[in-house]
Amino acid sequence: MSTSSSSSKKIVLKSADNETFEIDEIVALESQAIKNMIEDECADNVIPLGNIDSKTLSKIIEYCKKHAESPKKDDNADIDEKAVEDLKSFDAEFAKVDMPLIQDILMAANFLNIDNLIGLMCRTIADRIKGKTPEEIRKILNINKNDLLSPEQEAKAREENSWAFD
Amino acid sequence: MENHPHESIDTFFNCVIPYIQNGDDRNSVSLVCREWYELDCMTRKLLTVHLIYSPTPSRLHQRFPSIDSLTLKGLPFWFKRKSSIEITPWVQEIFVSYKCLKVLHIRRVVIRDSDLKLLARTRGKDLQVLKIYRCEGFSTDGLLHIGKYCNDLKTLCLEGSSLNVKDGKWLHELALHNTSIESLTITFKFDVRDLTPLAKSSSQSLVSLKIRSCDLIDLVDVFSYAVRLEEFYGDGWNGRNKSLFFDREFVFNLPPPMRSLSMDHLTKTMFPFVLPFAHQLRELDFINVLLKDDSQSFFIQRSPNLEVLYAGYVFEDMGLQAISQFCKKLRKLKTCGFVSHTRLISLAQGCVDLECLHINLKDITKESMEFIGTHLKSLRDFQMKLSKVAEKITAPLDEGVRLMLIGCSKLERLGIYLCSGGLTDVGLGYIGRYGYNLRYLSPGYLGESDAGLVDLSKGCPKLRKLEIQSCPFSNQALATFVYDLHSLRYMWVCDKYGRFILAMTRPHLQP
Repeated sequence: MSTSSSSSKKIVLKSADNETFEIDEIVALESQAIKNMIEDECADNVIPLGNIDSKTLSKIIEYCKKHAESPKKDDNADIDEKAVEDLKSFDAEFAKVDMPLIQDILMAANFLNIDNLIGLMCRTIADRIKGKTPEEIRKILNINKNDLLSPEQEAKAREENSWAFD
Repeated sequence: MENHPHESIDTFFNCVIPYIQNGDDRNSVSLVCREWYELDCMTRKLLTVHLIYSPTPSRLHQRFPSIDSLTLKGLPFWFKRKSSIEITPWVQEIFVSYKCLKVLHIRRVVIRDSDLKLLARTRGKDLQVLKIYRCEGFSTDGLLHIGKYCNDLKTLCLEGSSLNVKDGKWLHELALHNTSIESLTITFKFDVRDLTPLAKSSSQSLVSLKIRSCDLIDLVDVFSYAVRLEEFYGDGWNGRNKSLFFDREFVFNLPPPMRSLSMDHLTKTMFPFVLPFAHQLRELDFINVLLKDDSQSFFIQRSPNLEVLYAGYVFEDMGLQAISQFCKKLRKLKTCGFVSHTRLISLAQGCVDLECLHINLKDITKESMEFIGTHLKSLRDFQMKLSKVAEKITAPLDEGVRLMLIGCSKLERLGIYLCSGGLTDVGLGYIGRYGYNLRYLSPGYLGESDAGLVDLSKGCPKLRKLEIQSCPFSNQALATFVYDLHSLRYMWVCDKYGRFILAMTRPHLQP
């Protein structure tokens, strides 16, 4: 992914499937992890991200780009309000993707330490889980069936849940 | 990544779980898989124990070691056996196991002074919220320990409890050791002069004061100190020293931030003191006021910001008309006076944000129910009672109830009291079919036979409490209902005179 402004400093990210993404440094700084690497001067020209595939990485760059370009707080209050609304609707649209990708983005955001994105993904997952039965949650998140509670454990937990604890 | 490795699921769930705090959602989460069960146990902070005689205190700690907000509930008030449930073993468990408890609610159990002493001395310094609701067995001697040791307490609620009131020393102790009380509720009789030191010491923090049996005239000092008070529930003025209010020297002022008001015996004499606040009021309790219909309407017309309103028996069509026109922000309305179905239609059109509506009706039609379904999309709690002297319903209300339930899909609490023939078995079936989110249901004079109850039991998968009044169901059908509906915790049945016939709880069903 290339950007139009040629004057700013560029950073190149390389995904697990060896695709490279050239982005403005300011966009990369949305990631606290990359920011630390740059500040500690341990970033080479190319930063390899061996655990993030290109599909996930391009989504993350899309998010960081939008957030880096948005006016930050403490600016003019009028702009603030409009920018906040704009960012809100961007986030809402951004989160409209399938669950496996959301999980991948969350894992990657966690690795890259992008606080806002972690929060957005967690809220999205929580919203999709709320009001659902355990069976529905397993299906939504594709939970491994080998790790279920034993029938006795589940019966006990269910009984406690329904009559005693919530 | 189609299948996530195990570790990823954990990391991912660790991030997500703080965003899921609702008890039902946490219960679902706990059953998803073994890892999630463990993580839920370790991270659950907030918990309600519904029937404290059922699980043991040690089991609670074993499963949830990190609780910081705990609600312990005894039996519902219509069970007579409440005196047999003691809180002592739970307080001992709190003392031993819950070192970080900040919030404790105790409801409908027996508390001893020794329990309060142990609680205050061991956990008092960390407790921020203590609510004791409809309990018995303790005295103001026990409260003395709360006053001495709960230095960081912000909310203290002593509501509906029957206790031995010996003196008001405990309030003086509280004033001496605590300067950060934000909310205080005391519904037993006490000497209001004992409250003044606390109003003084917590003058910068006190925002809510709910008391009974105290004359407004005696609260002049309290109000002068509690400059941040936003919420006051009290007795109002009982007519004593009437001339005082006309005395130019007499200074009576409600604190300026006041936005939630309840005064029993409020009369027009008090209008000069309360009317200036009408515009800023968010919450108003008119249940026991002595105002006539037109005076109430006069007041309500000047309260456009009301979100919560409780209105008494004298509140009828005129008052409801005023609400529909002027109170567009209303979320909660409970009224005792009987109103016509046309006013109900105006209300549904005028106050579309209503989440809670309890209303008594002179008459009812399918159309008015349909209007509720069409306009009140946020309704969660709906209770309607048809007057016993109402004209007989010409056709059953089945279709009206169906349309209301389809529209109000968020409904969690529903009470419908009609008259014989008001709702057939088909109508009960509709409640089952469309009441997916119902947790509490109270049918009165509904249905024709056991078949209606069978149809009801096919739905309502989340129903916890059922209160049946004068419906034609056999004991056999009731027992089958309880057996079929696994979510049900309590059932209570009474006849048409309100006499109790049957009460059951789970897990140990006891007639």
